[in-house]
Amino acid sequence: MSTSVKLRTAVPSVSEFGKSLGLSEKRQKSLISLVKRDSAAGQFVASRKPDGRIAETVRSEKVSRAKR
Amino acid sequence: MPSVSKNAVFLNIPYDSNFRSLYLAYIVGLTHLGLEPRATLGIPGGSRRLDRILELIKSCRYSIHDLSRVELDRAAPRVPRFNMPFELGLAVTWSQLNPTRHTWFVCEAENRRLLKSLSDLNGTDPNIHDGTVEGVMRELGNAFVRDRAMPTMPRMMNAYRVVSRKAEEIQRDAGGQSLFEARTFNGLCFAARVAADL
Repeated sequence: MSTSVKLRTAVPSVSEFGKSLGLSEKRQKSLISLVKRDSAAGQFVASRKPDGRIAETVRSEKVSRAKR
Repeated sequence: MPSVSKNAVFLNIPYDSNFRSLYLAYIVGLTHLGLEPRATLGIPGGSRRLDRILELIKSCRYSIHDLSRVELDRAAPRVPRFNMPFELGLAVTWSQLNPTRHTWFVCEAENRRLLKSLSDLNGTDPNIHDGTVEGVMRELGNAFVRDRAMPTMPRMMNAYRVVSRKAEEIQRDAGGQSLFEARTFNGLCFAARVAADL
């Protein structure tokens, strides 16, 4: 038994990963929306820069509606 | 000889509600590391089940075997769960015969307990996760190392919280009756990959 292995393969993209799981594009979109939809704080991190800093956030629809 | 998926990990862990948090931790941790969990969920019973389990192990570059809950079933007849150690044995044999094609890891919750429960493995080091989500993330990070893009614990825990909060909704989206079904499992894996980018 190995105590540690070094991974040299690339991290699959979200769509590549969905394809390897056998998920249809429709189901992938549904799950992406489900995961990113609404948070208690009203925002989700949508993407990050290579150094880890937040690049883009997605506001919760609920927060947006409440503020109107 | 079956082809090997270089990112695939055969996940041999308990599939019951008491193991929910660690089940999700394994899924989130492995996907965050860029690996693809595979499970026997959805493999039907019958004479071909063993063949399918073996084919699944052979197709995975790695396997993880969590023996922290090999205990007597609560429902009668009260028998121990032998499937997990048995599947570990299959993976060990396959790895011994094909060392460049498969690498296996054993996880436990308590240090030194494996010395007693599975003394055949004495001299090798299990990954001890203490029965916690953080412990599972830590040990997965110890077992699978990347030079670049190694996820941090805070990011992995953030992804875990997202997936855990959404798990039952993912189950409903899959039309599943429990988190431990093939379609729900695939949904959780994909959701974990999405959450890794948040």
